[in-house]
Amino acid sequence: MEWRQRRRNNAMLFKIREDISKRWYFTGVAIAFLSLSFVWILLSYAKLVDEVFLPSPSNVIESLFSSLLNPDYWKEIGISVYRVFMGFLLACILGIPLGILAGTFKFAESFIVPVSEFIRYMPAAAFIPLIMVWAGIGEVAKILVIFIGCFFQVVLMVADNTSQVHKDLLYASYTLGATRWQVVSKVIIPAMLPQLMTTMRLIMGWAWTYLVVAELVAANSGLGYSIMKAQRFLDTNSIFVGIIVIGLLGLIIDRCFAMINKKLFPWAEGGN
Amino acid sequence: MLSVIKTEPFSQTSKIEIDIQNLSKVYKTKNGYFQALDNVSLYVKNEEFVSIIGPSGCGKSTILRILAGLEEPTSGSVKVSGEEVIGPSKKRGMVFQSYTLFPWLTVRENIEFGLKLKGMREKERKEISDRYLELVGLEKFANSYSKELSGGMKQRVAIARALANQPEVLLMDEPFGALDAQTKQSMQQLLLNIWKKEKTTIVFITHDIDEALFLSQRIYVMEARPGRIIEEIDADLQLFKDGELVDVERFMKIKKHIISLLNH
Repeated sequence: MEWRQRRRNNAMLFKIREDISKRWYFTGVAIAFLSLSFVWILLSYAKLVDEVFLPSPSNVIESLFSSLLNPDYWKEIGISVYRVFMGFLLACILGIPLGILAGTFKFAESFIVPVSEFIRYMPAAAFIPLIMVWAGIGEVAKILVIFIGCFFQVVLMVADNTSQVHKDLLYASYTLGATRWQVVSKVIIPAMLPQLMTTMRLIMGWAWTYLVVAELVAANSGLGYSIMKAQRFLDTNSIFVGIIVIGLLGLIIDRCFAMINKKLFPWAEGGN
Repeated sequence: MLSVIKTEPFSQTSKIEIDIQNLSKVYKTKNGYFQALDNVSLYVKNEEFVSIIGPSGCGKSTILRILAGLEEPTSGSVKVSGEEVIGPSKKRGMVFQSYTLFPWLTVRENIEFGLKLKGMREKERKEISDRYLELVGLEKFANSYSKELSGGMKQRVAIARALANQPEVLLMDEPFGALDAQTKQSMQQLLLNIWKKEKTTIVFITHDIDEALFLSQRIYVMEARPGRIIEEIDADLQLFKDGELVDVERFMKIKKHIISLLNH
């Protein structure tokens, strides 16, 4: 009897798209992180890889803490966060209204979407030399790289979010007396907000990627720059620290988005 | 000959609310034109409950969407209370087959949606939504969101939302088509009670003969390709009493007749 129960439990874990218990879920998370650390520990303490290429976990943790205790390092973090948010906000402020327009009116779509599709395929990193010619290497240049990398994605994804709003909802609101403007402001926008937040969450990830691209090429401050500087001195410890800090920042921001989503849209199907 | 079938209006006492004359609708498709509706004429009187029944693809929903102003006729005239329909209006409320509750609004806010658009004050809005919540028996769910409701409950809210706007006519496009048999039955009874209480003019689209016979006073039967009306049937015959079928023989006779019309 018991083995049958156990077999059923095991089968439960591999049912397609079915929920599993929270305990099993976190077990999975823990196993993933532990095995990652295990591989790292094995490779470095068994001296399978030279310290120059792969520093030991203890060294990295040590320099992580010493960096975080250093106010100068927080300045680097601060400037990077500032750039990311400026580029991200700029892309959102301009991109979201355009995306909503494109997803609402076919004529606006014909204006906006094909052009955005075209430019989207041009790698933002390739714009860096051009941006340096246009805007020098000041703050504007870095924010512009992030902006160009994110803006066209925002437009296209928001246009898609908008066109996902079910047409019957629009028809229903027409028959309830809504004007065209009210359909946009009272139906389309509220209906798409949860998807919009998800889009912004994804775009935030892109923004961090472009930040590092911008800072690696043309900067004298920020997390990307500190990684770049560390490479010159073969200071792999600091490279690891830089990467981990960026990862942690991304994780924190992502969790914030998820929490806000849950708080703001308790009505959304699927909960979060 | 069946005595129940009549071709001219069987009573001239109340005024005509909906008047459709020679309505045609042609869609352009990849390989030419598709005639969805061919010269459809029908009328619905004030406070009348009329069903339109027909096979899928006969254009019955198209008639309703044109009535609602969501689609334009290719030719013909469509008048509601004497006015030509030129676009959607809150005078013509609609209940759809798909669930169209606004998921970000509570049940009460959904019912008040049209009233709020009108700019009605909160106190008045609440009075009206209270009344319609009671009418559809959802007082306890006033603050629930759509995702917490069953299919039948969602359609009840949709009916309440349309009626709260005080429309001249209520257009219903297979509203119970997605519900299970039991829920469907109780919804039909509920709708009938509401209609008797509210005295709204209702146009009801269905492909379910029992449903049409149970609910309506008059039935238009349609055929497909091209969509046209082939017969008008008087169904106001006291076949049911308190929701129970009492005149089985007559019911079966009409039902068989409609089946033969649909299969011809």
